[in-house]
Amino acid sequence: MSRLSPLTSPIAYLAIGWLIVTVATALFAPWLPIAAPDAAAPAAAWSAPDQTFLIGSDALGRDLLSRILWGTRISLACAVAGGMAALLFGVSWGLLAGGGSSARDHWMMRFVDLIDSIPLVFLVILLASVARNSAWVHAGGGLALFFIILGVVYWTPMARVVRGETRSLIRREWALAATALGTPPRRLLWRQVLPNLVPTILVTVTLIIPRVLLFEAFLSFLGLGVQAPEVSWGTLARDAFEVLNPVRTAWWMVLFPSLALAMTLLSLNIVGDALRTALDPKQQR
Amino acid sequence: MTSLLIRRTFASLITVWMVFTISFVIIRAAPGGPFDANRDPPADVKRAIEARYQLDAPLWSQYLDQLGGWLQLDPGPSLRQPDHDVASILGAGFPISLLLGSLALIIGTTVGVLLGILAALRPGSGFDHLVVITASIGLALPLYVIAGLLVLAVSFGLGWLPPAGWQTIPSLILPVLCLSLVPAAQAARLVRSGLIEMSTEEFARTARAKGISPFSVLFFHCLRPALIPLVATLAPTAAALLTGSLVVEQIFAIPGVGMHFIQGALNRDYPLVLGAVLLYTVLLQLLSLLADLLTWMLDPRLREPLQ
Repeated sequence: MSRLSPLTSPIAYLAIGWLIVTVATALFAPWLPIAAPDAAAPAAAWSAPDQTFLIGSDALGRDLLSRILWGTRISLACAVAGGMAALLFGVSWGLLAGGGSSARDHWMMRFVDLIDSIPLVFLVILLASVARNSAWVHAGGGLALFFIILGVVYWTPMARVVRGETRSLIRREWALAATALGTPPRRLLWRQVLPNLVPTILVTVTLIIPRVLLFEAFLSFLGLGVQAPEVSWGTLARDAFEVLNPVRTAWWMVLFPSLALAMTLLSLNIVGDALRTALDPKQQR
Repeated sequence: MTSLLIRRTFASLITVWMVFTISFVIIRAAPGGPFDANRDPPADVKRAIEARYQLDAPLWSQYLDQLGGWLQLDPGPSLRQPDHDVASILGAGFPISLLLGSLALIIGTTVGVLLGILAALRPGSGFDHLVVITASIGLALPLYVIAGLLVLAVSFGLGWLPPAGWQTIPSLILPVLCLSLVPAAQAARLVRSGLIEMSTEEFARTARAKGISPFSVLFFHCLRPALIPLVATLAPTAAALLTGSLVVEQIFAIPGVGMHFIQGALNRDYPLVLGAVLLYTVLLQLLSLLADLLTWMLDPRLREPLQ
């Protein structure tokens, strides 16, 4: 059996296929033959799915399909940016802690413990509330701030994993040999240990990205994340719930943004699981 | 044990104090005060407002004043609802959220443990796969997706249950169901894997060799050690419940703490938001303390004094 066999099961193919389609539509949304996401047509408000509006329109007559595709851009950008921020913070912190003296390791990891003991989600909501007021956010810095917040929330698991792995790697014979040959500690860490951490880091990133995606959807759903006129899957679901009532049930507005998010999350989980199995030597028989 | 308890309590107090301090810094560091979005008032009116909410005092004295106020559970008035103070708003929401949360925790955990046991009776069977897959999906999807689809199907499609509210038992069913999904999925997964692991242990093999039925071995011998990880994850589960309650109270229009918290965050009612953040922090710290105590009671290995 090949090393990557877990990634070639039918269900993994489906998941990878969905992710490719999602990323492609996100990248090429401006050039797709769809209406603009903010093109309002009040006469066509609340259209159920038909030939003009493939999956319906919203309260202002905007095409839901187009809004979902444009929302994909923001949602995926958040996930990738958050994942990258966590990668940058977490890997550097873990490498510096795990590769340093035991005193430095102790204090750097106590700091991680401290961060983990704080319920960051609630502080982030407070921060989002405060940030709504500032001129900087109104000038468009809000989305950037939001990306940074997402990364800051999720860097500690990465730091823990990288630190543990680093600690065990620098005790291996090849690391001792490199030190004996006169490799400076910093060079050993970044040029010898770091490449060996790549599978671990990759697996941890596949765990973090769905969590960031979830958190973006959570905050945007509450109205504290992505702000209009930007669209994300979370804000679309929020729009849907605001108009949900027994008199006029615009079910498509709830269903399709939820499906987009659900399919992507499940695909990410499936691919992440497969990747973990493929890259974990202990699970290879 | 006592020294452990004292140390844990002390660490919890430090955490709560840090959350308060960070929140204070965030609120004060933001450019512009909470009233700046309103029409700009005349200078003396603005001074009067600032004096009313003590925004004109030096920072350190505001910090100490507020800290003192919170310690005496008298945090002062809300910024947006001038007739109510923060304590009474949160006090009104708390019983509702508590009812919702504890129902969800109890029902979710019970159902999850039962499903976990049933799945572990025949590992690899169709039912086992069903439980594992459902639990993974339940943990992977955001609550509003599940809640949204449930409301669409059950309330609007079939018309069986009301889509909002909390005062009658039928209207409580959907919110509690949504909120109990995460604890149920968590419990089912942990109990299943714990039981399967325990049933390969020597004590379980011995019990089976003595002729005890597999069900009794699982239920009376393996269940107790398998429950320990469940208790240990009480604190993260509670955190998931709290964040979940923000979404569920929003969807079902339930006036609990979560609803006031989000409303306060949306219209920048800082004292109210700070109050909710502190309430949640204290709650989480209490629950994690409780989880440690329960683990200690369930696991006799922890009770033996270390030499």
